Amino acid sequence: MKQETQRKSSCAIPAEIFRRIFLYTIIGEFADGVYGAKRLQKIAYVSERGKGIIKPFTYKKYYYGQYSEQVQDTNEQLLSLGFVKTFPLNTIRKTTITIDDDTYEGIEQGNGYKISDQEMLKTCESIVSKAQPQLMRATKKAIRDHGYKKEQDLIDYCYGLKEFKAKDEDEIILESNLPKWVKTPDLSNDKCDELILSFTPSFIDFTNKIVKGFEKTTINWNKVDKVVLKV
Amino acid sequence: MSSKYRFLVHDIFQSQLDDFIESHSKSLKSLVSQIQSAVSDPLHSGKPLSGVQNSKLRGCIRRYHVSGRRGFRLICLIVNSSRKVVLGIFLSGNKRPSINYNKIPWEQYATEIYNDLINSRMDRFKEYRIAD
Repeated sequence: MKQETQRKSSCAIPAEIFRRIFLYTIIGEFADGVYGAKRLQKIAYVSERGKGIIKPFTYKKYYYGQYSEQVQDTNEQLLSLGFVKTFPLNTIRKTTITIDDDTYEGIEQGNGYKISDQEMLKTCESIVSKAQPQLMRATKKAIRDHGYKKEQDLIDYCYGLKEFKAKDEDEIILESNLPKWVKTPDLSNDKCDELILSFTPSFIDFTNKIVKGFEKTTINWNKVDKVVLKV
Repeated sequence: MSSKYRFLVHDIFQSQLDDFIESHSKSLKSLVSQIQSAVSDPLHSGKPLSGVQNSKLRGCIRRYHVSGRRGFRLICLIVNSSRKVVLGIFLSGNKRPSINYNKIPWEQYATEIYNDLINSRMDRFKEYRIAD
């Protein structure tokens, strides 16, 4: 490795990129993937709810508990980038969920989510740990304490949280306070730039479409103007 | 040289290149040198964008430093190795910028360039050659 590539400085990444990196880290921290979107939502919420912890996502009180549209959107972006893969949950289950003494029955057949790039996980984990160490610690604890609970137990826990009980449906329970740019200590400017690009779905889609366009065309070089660059 | 790739730029990115040439004449030598390395051996020059999951794109998005690591950023796309084309797709206007690539209208650019390609509007591209 060249000496230059080891030079470190502090740089910053946009909030939406940090959200993708954070959610990727949560999914990757699960030993064999996250079983279901509901579980992902709840664990992200539990990770963020502590005092003094930066909050990447905003959550509202919904029928199934704490829900963040941002978490869902971010997960979809990670799926479109290919960083996260889905796997079918191997059981179609009849579920019974009890909320405030009311029982709801339904059939659940969702997807699980897992990451596909362990190297990238190491990078992302390191970014979250260094940029927001409290958040990383809280995430590991949330997964350890609640990530593998039975769904009903996880829901019971989340419904039992005082800030959830205090709100009406559709009200914001927890509001994101992530700055527009998140400082990332010890990350070189170059690595920072690379991560931002890698985690920008519109850029990756752009390059994919251009490559497809060139595959479909025959280049008529006579129509291409030539410019000579002189120094 | 027939083994070399050709360096193309679409109209959309032409202004970035023009502005750079006009505003940063001191860095022109470095830009030319990076373009030269991109067309000479694109698969081994610059740095490939890591983390790209799409196998067709892996290794094809290359990043170059103009005027050193603390300088400007040039991004190229190897569009088709058999046709030997390297497309310049981004050149930063400032040194060491913090770029939010999310704010760039990539979707709109993709549609425009794609439509030009499939409708054979090659007059919307320019080929840059390095003077001997």
